[in-house]
Amino acid sequence: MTAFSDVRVIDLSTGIAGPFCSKLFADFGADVIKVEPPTGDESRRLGPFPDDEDDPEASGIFQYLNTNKRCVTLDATTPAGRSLLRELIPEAGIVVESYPPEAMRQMGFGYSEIRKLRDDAILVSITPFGQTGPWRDYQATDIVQYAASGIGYVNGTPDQEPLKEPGNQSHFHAGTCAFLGAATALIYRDISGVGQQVDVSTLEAVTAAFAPQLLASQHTGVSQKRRFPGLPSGLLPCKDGYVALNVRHQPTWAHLWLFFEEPEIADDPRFATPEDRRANTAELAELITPRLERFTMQELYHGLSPLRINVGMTLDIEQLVNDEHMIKRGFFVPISQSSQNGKSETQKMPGAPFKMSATPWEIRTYAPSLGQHNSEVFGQMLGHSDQQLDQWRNEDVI
Amino acid sequence: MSSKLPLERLRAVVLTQAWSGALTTQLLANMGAEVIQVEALSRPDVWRGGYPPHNRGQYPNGEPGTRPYDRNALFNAVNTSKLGITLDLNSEEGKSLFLDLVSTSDLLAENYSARVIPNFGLEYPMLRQINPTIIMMRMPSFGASGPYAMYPGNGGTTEPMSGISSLLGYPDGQPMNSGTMHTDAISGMMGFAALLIAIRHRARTGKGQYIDLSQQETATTYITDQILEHTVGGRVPQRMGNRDRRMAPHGFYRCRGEDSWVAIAVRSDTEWERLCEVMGRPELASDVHFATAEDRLQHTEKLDSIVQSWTLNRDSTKTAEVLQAQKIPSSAVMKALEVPENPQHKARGFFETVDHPATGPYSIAGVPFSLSETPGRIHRPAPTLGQHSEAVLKQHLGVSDSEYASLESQGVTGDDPGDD
Repeated sequence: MTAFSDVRVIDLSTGIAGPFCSKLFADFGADVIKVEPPTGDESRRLGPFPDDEDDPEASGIFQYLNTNKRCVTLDATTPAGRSLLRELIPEAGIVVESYPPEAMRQMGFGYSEIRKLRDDAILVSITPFGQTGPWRDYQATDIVQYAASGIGYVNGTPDQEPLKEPGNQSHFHAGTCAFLGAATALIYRDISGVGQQVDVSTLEAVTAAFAPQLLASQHTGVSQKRRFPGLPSGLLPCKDGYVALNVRHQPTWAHLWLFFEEPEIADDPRFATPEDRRANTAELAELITPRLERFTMQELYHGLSPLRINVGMTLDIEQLVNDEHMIKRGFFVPISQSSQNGKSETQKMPGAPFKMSATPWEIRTYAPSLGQHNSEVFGQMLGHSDQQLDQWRNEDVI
Repeated sequence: MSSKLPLERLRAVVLTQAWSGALTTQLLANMGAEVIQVEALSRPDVWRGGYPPHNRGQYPNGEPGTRPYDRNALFNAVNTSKLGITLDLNSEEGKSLFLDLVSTSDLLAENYSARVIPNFGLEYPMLRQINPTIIMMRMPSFGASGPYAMYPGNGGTTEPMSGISSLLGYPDGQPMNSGTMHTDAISGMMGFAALLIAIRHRARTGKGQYIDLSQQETATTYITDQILEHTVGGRVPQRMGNRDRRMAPHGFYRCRGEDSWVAIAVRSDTEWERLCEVMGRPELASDVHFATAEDRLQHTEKLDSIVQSWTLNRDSTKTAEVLQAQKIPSSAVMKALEVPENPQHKARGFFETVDHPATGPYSIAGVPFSLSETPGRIHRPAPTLGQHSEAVLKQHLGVSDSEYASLESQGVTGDDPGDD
């Protein structure tokens, strides 16, 4: 038995956040039915695609986000589509959606309507800024979230513009928080029989990742600023890349100079204590940088780590995917049936986000093709005839 | 509003510290679990900022006070709603009391380097003998298994090891770490996801389990789209500053005032047309150089200088409001002190005020998901060092007054780190 083998989720969401939330349910055992418009979810067009050839069944991000899910198509803008959705919702205890605020209600699927269809339903809504408040109808992309959360302001150097986080991490933050809210609500429903509404604001999810620094700024009365990279904790150049090096603590300072085979420098009075080293970072960098440049990232990482020195290699994405530790832990997994069969074995994606002994993450099925489970769900589960399904197909309802 | 908290039947004994693990168990506590945070008087949580005279932290009004470790912002921000006790796990008595707590708890979480738990003799097979249904989560930087497991790590080294730092930076500039210990927040949230899965499985089956979370892997998960650029798209993604592969204009543009910026992202041709209108440059909308996203991406530099010449003498907040009125994604780049003042946060009550005995009231970001029936909340401030040692040991473990006094005098527990 998996953690969610008794749970069914209807996922009406698009983009990354909602599908990432329902992926966590699916990958740990839930039956997730992804509802797409007959034209397909936008993420089928996002890519990246093998050989850069557009193919709605081969979009990398779609394949990642939709492992272990079933897919039905349904046009919720038509009365027949909405009627089908009304039949589907009572079969599921959890509904995930990412429409703009009020859109679900306008389609007849506000929380009170969903409660009428299934009294203990959990409705998970993910929007850029939440279902309430003066910003609720504001538009956002990833960069806007890194502006509004304050995180962007502290990324980068003081002499240049602030920097957003790379990729689309705000959506992953929002998807994780949606899962946290939904799973908590599920655990409470198990005890009480009571469902509820989960309102996730992407901005709040991202801002929570800045909470300690926000409090620190309140206490000091000064907003945290951008810093130049370098010591004490920035990335430093070495022979073939950059390493993070942290030598704050006393024994590790001595160990560093043992590694460089110049132990006497550890006693240099200019750098004797952590306070001295913080006060003399420029001189310290002059001392350390030429020595780091004699070594590769690998040499430094495997040489210094056993000495209890905090050191990190700045891995690019190719190095990361081929990293020995990642490979031994089996983190990256095939993205599809064909890559599993070795036809395109470089096509990998992140696998288990954490390793659980009793309820392990697993791929039971790869991402579904568009409408792959229409017959299974609308026919076998809801009891509609093949003829009816054909008619809906002809009318572009499914 | 119901006063119920959804996880109030659970007890966790935790060795979480600094940010990542502390955030996981803070979420657990805010949702109602009784979380007993265990520190040692000889080795308090590093985010307490250390003992005088070597303490270093961010204290209210810059005043460390006599117990600076009770006043540091970082610790107090990520340990709300928990109980705090001290136990010396290197002493026989301390370890025995810790195991007593394990036997009466549902969960144990920790984020030490992977070598620490074996050194304490607290590995899962042993703990399971004491409590067969315990959920144990370990979350070291590189996980509890694999070739790098025994290497030390922290947010500053996990970020470059996760691939994120290779992508953060200016085009043609060097890689950078985020201005926060960015990966800690990711693993902290994902850690709570793992615990919730285990909690539900335990409620259904009565079975505990062991969780091995690698902070490197959870961080990498958050840049999956960039991983796929390589594994599916065949490219090694590079640093591109604030630029985007599909959208232009897209960036932080300089505004009036010191270090003031506004974020603008144009998702479509119609948004571009509306931006041209707003900028008072309607003729640009029909300029063939900027007609499609592809055209605009090709002429990004020209485009950025046009947009910046418009933003340069404008107020960042007002500029974002004007753009949002036209449904164009935008926000001022907020400075830390401005964030809690955002009218959106005020309206939703996202920041909660906590009255801490050692600092007075402060406001802190709350629970990042709103549940209508059982909203989590900060129900007590972060504990001062050892604040609940006496109450927990006496009430939960039946330690007598005289036993407690003796443990305290030996430095096994208590709330006073002494003089050295």
